Amino acid sequence: MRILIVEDEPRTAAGLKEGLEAAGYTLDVSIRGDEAVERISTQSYDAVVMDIMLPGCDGVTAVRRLRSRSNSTPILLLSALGEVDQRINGLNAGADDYLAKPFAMGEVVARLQALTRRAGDTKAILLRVADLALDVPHRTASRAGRMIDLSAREFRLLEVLMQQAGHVCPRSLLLREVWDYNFDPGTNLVDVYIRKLREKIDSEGSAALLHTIRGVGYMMSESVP
Amino acid sequence: MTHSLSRRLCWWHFGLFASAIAISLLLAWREMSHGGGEASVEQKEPWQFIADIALESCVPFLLLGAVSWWLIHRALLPIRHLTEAAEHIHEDNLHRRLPLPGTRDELDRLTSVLNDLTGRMETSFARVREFTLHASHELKTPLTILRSGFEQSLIRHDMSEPLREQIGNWMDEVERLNRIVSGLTLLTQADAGQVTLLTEEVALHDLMRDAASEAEILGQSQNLFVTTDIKASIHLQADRHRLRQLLLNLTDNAVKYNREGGYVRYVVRATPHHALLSVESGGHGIPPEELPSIFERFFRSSSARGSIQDGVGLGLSICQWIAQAHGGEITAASSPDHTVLTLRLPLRSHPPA
Repeated sequence: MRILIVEDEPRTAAGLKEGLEAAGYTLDVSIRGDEAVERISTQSYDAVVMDIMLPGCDGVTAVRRLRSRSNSTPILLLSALGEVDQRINGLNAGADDYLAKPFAMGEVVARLQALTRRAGDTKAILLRVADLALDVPHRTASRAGRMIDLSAREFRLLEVLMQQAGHVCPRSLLLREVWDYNFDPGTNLVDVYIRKLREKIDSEGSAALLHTIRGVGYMMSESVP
Repeated sequence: MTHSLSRRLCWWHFGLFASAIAISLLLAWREMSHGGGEASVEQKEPWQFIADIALESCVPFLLLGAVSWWLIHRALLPIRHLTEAAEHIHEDNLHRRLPLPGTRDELDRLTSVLNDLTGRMETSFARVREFTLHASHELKTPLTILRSGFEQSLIRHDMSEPLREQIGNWMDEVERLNRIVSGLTLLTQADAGQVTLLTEEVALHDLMRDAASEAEILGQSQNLFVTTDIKASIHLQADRHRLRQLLLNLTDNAVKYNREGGYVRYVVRATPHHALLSVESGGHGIPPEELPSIFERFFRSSSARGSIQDGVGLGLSICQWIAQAHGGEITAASSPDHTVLTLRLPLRSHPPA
């Protein structure tokens, strides 16, 4: 999958490139807004990650120009300005999503996955990691045939983790997807829930599936990361 | 007002009139004693003569007194208006200017001096805000780079466990720095009136129940006893995300500063004009001398100092801003083993000017 990064700050661009390459994307980097508009219009990208403050023309204007040319490439805007007004401006201009700096790489990956999910792709109704199974419509979870009793929150948390199986889920992503908090509350809410969830699914005698990646987030995976 | 300029001026005037009358009486007395009586047909006793003069001078005395009171009152009226207008100038409305009385005298001059002063204050406040915004903005680029660098290292497999732990600790500090910078950005933007609330209909009792269930989870390791007391179901127009942020912050504090086996109680009440949401908790309590400052930015309780805290000292300031942005406020009351933080929201939403 081919992604264009539009970012004039070289070290941020390098960090993004490294992180997204590790997640399996092919990347091009552009440093000017106006140049990026030309590139996106002439070449086909699966998605664009674009900073708002750019030389040439700013990110919001670039999105507006692309949309006025009926170009519908999914665009994720990044901004150091943060906060709601910027988000609304960007989304009104036609961007598909918005992320405030400094972001967790896992967030960028998760949002790109959401943006590039084809319209025909439906979310799996039965999620599976090793012998752990989650039946989304029936709200049931089982490990090796043994039913696990989960609260609504725990179920949603497990669902998000299993959808992203093999990828690290940063706390910010879990807070947004599970709790609908689009800010960092500075509490250990996620950690407490993860601990409870781990007690329920990784019980004694079975291999651990829910892993903590110190400082980064949590990951569902069969293999130890 | 105990010392009023107009009252003082009135007394001066009265004094002046009274001495004028006394002098005229003295003069009349002298005239009398130098044989003024020969000319008069009816002989009068001197004291009667003086009483007549006193009575006659009483009328102009009262008349002059009333006129002078009225004149003084009128002359000082612009000053009273000026004071009232100046009293309404706060940190948030420094752009306001006092109306010029248009008298082209000292009052006009005083007004324009005051206006210049608020103008200069406005400029320097704006400069501080701009500086903070620029500073937090500039900090975000290095933070982004640090964060993605640490993340990349932590995801790698070829790292020794002690090194991973060390980098993990640094990452925690980066996160903390990130929270400080985000908090500062939010508060500075809020001060500058650049943050808008996204209002929708919100069920306050539901938000409190959610907060209570989170307190239960967060307080499990301390065996906290969490209860709710919903005395009223309240729906109002508010920013749901911001209110949840506020309640989660109060919840987090209530749990963090609690004691083993303590309690947290969520109470929802309504008065005719306000919704009252209280988070009550047992625990250490807030010392009375610290109560007024707990909403100040970067305030740290003396009891929290020295212990390892993951807070950044902006949480309650942000809560207070959220309350004020909704036209309400948060108040705190505390005894050594009981602390209550109460959010008061107006039932009819009228955003502050």
